[in-house]
Amino acid sequence: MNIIRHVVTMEVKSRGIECELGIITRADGSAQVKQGNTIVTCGVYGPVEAKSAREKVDKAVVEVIVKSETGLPGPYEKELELLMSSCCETMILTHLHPHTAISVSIQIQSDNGSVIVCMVHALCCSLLDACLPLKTTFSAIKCAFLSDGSMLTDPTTQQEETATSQLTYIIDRKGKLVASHATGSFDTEEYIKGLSVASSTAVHRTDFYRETISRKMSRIKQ
Amino acid sequence: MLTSPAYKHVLYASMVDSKVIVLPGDAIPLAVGNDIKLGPGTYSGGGREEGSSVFVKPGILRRKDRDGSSSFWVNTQHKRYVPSEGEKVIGVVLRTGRVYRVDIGASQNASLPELAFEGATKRNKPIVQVGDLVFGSLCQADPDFEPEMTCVDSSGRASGMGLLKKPGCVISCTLSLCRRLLSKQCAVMEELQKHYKFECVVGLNGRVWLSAPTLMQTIIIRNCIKSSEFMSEDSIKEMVRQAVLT
Repeated sequence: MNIIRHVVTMEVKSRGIECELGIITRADGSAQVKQGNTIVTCGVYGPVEAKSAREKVDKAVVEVIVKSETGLPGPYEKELELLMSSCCETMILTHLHPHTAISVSIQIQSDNGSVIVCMVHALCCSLLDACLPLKTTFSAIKCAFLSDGSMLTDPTTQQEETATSQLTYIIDRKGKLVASHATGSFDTEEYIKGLSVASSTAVHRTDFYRETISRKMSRIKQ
Repeated sequence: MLTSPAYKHVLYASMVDSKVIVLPGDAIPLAVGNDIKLGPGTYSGGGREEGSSVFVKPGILRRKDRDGSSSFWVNTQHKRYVPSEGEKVIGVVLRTGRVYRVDIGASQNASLPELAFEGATKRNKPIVQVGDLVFGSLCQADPDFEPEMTCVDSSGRASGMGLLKKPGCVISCTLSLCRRLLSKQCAVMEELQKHYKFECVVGLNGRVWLSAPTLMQTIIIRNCIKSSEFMSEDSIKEMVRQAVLT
């Protein structure tokens, strides 16, 4: 199959990201990320001692727990946990800390669309706060395709309801795809169009992370 | 990617005091013909070509040039201690026996042989109880093995290490504050020394042991150290001056 990459000239619209590091005092790294009215808090604990049953001799075990705003965890939360833990395992250099465990808890505080995007940013910020060895930083963007074929980036819950398909891309700092999450019906062309939009946002997200870390480090005045 | 000329300029210039923020994934530009040593926060794939060595931790980039070789490392702000060989740490004894188990705040407890004290023999052992504080150096800190502690140096002397038997208190701080407390030009220590006589042991695992003649002084010193982390030198001086007056 011959895939032609779309050259995206459109400006990628997304809500501003607000991030606060170290919001959980007892955790080794934590962050609260707000994108519009979507708020996610994430805490990272590790490397800590692993339970002997789960311990791996060559790398650290990553455990991710996702908690929704209300109610008991269901299949949707489990699906998100799987996505996040695969993301963690690719990005953290787990072989540097064998026999240990890294545990991540993600709490969704309010969901107003693009919650996975917010979760990925909270995860990356808290991993950076915990100073765990990472391959690169990573970010995410969500694209929603409407019935008339138009595309929305970073949709809110209302916009998500009108969409025929929703695609979330998790990308590294060079714009390469790490993982993706998709619902609804879409074709290959739409998927690739979304991906090229996602790749174009990678540079801005890296700048955002650098600013966040520089704010953290600037607290030291000596 | 950080490939802007400004960034490279700073990297190659002497930049001990400049603040360059690095992120995981930033490439380390390896200058040809220069001996480069990579320290904490960096990861090398083994090759010499550009891009094979990257930073893996976020923080402030540091560089030191000595004898034609330059070392790079990243100043980070950790909370969790990861053992490293040769570092001096403060631990709490959890279990006694032939080999003591010591909590050093890392992912695994360290082991401390009972004969690893100055002058200890099979007949003459130190009296150690569960809950005692011990200051020692890590002689083995490979991630694949259990960390091992010792309270003697290579010539069998204590050289400051051993049990912390005096009445005192332990405070926990971030690892970067501990490293700063040990540096020669640490403002808070300099200021406190002017006003108080006290003993202080700093472990690189985020624990600081303090012993001052009175309880009041211990509390003042503790508060000053804890709150000095995010203060400028001038405000530290002012804080200590205020604290002494109370």
